[in-house]
Amino acid sequence: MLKNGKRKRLIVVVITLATLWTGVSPSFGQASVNELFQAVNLSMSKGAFADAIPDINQLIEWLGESKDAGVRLRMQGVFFNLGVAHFFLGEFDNSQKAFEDFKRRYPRGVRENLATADLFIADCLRFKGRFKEAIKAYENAMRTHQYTSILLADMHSSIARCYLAEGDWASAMEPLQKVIGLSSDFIQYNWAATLLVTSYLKNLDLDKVYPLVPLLLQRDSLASRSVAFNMAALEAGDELFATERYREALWVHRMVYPHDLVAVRSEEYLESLRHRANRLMETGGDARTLMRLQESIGELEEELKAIAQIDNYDIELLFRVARGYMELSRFWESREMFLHLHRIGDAEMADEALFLAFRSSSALLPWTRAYEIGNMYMDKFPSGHWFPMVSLAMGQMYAKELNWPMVIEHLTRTLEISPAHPSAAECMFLIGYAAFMEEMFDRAAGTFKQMMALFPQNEMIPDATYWTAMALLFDGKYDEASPEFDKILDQYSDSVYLEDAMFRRAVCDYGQAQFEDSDKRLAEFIARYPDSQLIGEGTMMRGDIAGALGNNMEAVEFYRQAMTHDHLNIEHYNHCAFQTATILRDAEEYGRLRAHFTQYMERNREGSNMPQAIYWIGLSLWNTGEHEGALRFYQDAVEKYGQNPREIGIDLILDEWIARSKRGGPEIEKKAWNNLKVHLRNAAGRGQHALVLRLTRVLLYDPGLQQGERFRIISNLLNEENLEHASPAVSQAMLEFAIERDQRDLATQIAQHIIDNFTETDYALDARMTLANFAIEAAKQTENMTERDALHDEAIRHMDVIRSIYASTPEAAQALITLGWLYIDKRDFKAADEAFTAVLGPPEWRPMRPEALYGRGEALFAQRQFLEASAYYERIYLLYSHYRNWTAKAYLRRAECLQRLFEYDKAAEVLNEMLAESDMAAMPEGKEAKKMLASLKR
Amino acid sequence: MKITWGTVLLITVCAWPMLRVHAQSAPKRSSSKQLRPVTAYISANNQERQVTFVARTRDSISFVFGESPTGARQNIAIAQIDNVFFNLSAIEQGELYQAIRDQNWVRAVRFLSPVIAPLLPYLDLPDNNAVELALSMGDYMMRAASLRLRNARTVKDRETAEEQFRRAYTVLRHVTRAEWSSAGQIADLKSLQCLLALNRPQTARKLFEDSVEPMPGDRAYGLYWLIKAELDVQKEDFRSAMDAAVKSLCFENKNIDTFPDALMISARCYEEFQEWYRARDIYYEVARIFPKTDWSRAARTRLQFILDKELTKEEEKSAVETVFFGLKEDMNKMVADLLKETDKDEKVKQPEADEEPAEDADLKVFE
Repeated sequence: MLKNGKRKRLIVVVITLATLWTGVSPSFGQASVNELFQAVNLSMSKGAFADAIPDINQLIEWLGESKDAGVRLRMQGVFFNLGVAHFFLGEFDNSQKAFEDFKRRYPRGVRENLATADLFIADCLRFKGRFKEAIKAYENAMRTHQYTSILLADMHSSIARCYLAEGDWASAMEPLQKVIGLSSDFIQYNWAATLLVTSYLKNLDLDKVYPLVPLLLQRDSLASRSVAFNMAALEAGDELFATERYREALWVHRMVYPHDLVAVRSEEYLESLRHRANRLMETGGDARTLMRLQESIGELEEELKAIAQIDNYDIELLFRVARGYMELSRFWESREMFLHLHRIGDAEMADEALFLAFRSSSALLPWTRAYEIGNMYMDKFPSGHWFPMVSLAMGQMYAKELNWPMVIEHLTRTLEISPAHPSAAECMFLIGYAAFMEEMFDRAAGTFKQMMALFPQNEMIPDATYWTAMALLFDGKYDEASPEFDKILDQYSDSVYLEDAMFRRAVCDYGQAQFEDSDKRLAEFIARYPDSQLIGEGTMMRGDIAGALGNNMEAVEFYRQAMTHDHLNIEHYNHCAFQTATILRDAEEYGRLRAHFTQYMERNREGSNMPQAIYWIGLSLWNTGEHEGALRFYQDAVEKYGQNPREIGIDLILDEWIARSKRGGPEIEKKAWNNLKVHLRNAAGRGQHALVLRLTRVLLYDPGLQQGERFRIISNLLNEENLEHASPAVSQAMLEFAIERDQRDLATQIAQHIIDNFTETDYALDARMTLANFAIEAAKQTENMTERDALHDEAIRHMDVIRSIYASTPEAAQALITLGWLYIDKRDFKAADEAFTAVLGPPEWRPMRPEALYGRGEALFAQRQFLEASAYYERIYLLYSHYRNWTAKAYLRRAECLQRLFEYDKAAEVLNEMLAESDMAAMPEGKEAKKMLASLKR
Repeated sequence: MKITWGTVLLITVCAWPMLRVHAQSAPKRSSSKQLRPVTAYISANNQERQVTFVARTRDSISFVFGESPTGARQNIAIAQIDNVFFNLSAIEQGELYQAIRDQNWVRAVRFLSPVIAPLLPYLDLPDNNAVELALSMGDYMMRAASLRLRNARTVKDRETAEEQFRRAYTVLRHVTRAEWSSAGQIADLKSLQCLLALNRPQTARKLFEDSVEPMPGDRAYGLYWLIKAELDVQKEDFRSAMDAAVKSLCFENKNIDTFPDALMISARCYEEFQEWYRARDIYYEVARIFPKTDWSRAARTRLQFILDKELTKEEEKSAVETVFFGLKEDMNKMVADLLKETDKDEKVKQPEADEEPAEDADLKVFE
């Protein structure tokens, strides 16, 4: 960098400098000695070196050899200035010669001049490219003279430049370190630091690099402009990478300034240096400072040329850094950088970078961003190289989160975009599995079968076969599931599902009521896999089979045996317990029954139904004649568990207690109620608010309770502060009493409390029904349409919950009917018809059918579809004639339809038929029918 | 030996047609504010004159030709000025750089403030050469305040530090008026850091929301995201803080003013996420690549904590199934070795005796 080119450049610079000053220099003709001295001084002060030289030479010719001490003293500056003038004109030979002549003539001259002359001589050698001699000259000068720290720093930097010009980085380090120690000039200091770091990087001497890093990260740092530094850092990073020093490779690669930034910074800095140099020339200043500036300008111009010749490495560098972050598990960083690379890179880079951004993001929880990036990839690169990996990974991630609907949606989309997906089998398998988990058994089985048909050689075929069988089994298609399980047993004996398949195969037989075969298979299974986690369930099933075959006591043995297995899940465990209870009760084996549930309560597995167990023990005691004992047992249990308002079963036990106490005879009954009152007082004394409320509710059933006392108890119960401690039964009682006393606000509050706290119980069903009815009633009373709509919406909301959550209950049917009428009010006839139609399905809702049919007719009637409506009314009195009220209404309404259709004769016929039934003629509808008939006759 | 040349400016008074001269007349649009006289070269229409500023309004400058503040006053509209060159040679450059190298921020401010303080009212003038140094001065004042706050042991120490922050804030707000320069936006953002240090996060957040988001490559990019991260940390939204810190450290890793701080915030976030291995890695990185700095000292403290609590004692499970590199480093050992290195320079830096800023007249000029 500092070879011949630089020397020529400096010459040009200095000549330019001299020319600039020459432009303002005065010209002289013939002059006296004094005038010549003045002219030389003036030219030198203004930098007019070319003008100064002839005058200096004239003076030397006239006075140079004078022996006069005064003249010699006066001529000292003249000889010195000749060297300076030649130097700044770039005439380094002449300059060196002049300074040497000066030293020879004035060996004991002004010390400062002698020191500076030696410095200039060394500079001349350097600019002439005689670097070794220059170094010696600098060193000699420093040994001979005393310089300021500024000049010393200058000289060491010059020595470093000499070494660097010869490519000798090793030797340059010592003078550079001296510059660092001496310099107080930011540019020079930073220059030295950057070159030192460059040198350290070349030697991979990183411990020496790091202390200087803050200097490199300065806005005007040479590092941001130096090709040498940035190339050295790039190469060092690569070498560190190659020698598996990955962490340091990342740190060093990260130091490299982007190619474009180096160019821009160089241009900017060049401009600023030129500005400073110009300013210095205009305002005057230290010549050596100017010289350094000009040298820097020259170096920068060279840097710009070098940068232009280097291929842009920015993208590659960013990629290396991003990759480094990723491999060091710095995924936040790598994601951000890969996303950036995706934005700025070419198509190939954009593809890979987005994939790597996804991969980074998949290592960071939650996966929200990963999904965003993955979807972005799938949208942008449907044919991308990484599409299969991204799409499958996303599916697996959704599966890991048990987000089965998204597994299905995502992988279905994946296969739509890429039907020839290389992992299509895996995708289909996951879709099938997710469908199974979502209980979409038909789809699951279909997908597995499709996958097996398309990829018969796939290694997942045994697994797919198993899950096909499972889907069919859970879909109740036992006959179809059996052969699939058989395939596992016969063809895939090394499958991990073999054990499970053997068990499930027995379940298939059971499902098809092939109990003997099933029992045989279960016995074989238990024998073959004695440590299986399914042993408990298998034994339970053997109990079910024994029960189904009428071997009740054998069933009890199996159930009790099954209950000893820890892996038996709690639902099966309770099934065994209560099936046993039913059998033992039927067999009137109350002693065994009591022992069975005593054991059950002692074991107290999580999820055990303790109130039910208490009930059975109480029943056993009662049936063995221990009536008092049974009631006491119930009371003790209530006391033990009753403080928790959420123990729903306690209220059931209390109801059982009420019923039993009545059946025990007057003496036992009286004693029982007295005991209950003692318990109540004790509970109150202990501040057991929930228990007190429970017992208070029971107290209302005391046959000896006076009316006034009852009124007082209810009044005490109807306090909103009780809600916090109220069990569901207490809450429901409060609700009923609040309605009874027309305390609407409190009733609403209680109902909402029940819904919020006992959401999925039957108590909530009643509460919702109450709120719905309140809303409907309120809607009827308001004139405000908006308010009415809001109230209807609220009622619909509750009814919707009832019909969906409590789908098989009579209340659900009632909810649907109410909904139907509501929708008619709202003139949403389609929704009304759907609601009424839904009631017509379940056989247990038969009593509701007349009203449902009537509702369907009304929906059509309101739309003036009289003919269609009349058919529904007709169905009522033909099919459900024993529902007399609805029959009467239906006759009347059908006649009305026919009248609207101008079928007066038919209408009269219908009315006559109706009135022929005496009970109907007496009904209000009968009176209306008579009126209509009379008008028809008219 | 020093060779000097006289100033050669060939611009004559008559070649100054671009100035609208209103001798001795008061500015019309707003009242003129008398200021300490400041000598400068101003250029307009490619011509330059040496003048002395004596007063200004919002839109114009009152000046006198030459270096003396006495004489006939002229006015020039700021919109007419192309650039302004202040004479900054009175700054002891050598001493200043030495102070910076020593991280003696109060001392650095002392070298700058006598020259820069009188120029603060003029930083909005187009293309002037004082803006960058004024920004640096505000930055050094902040650093001095941070150091004092970090080492505060008494209420008085804390109050002193807060006073320093207030002064830094004042200087930086002056610099923000240089809307023509990227330094203006930098100062705007740095002043928010002062507000955060002064426990005024809501104000800082409000002002930040008004800031324009820079593009990658803009000078303010790293600082913008660093401050976003600091604001997020303050409200304990560490995920958002991490996002912001990562933007800063990934795309502005050549800026000593932001890069180490962004790394430290990312490490702090990793700590909050209980990702101790990553936090350790970053603290180690900071301690290694910024040795003998405040960042390194802070990082070593956290490393010691992680080591003492044995938070990374167990071998880390690889997060990625197929590790491309297969790193074989024993990071815990590397950390232990680093902490064992006895380096007296790594001890916590205390403010030096001459860093007492409370009574410093130079700093008070900004109030």
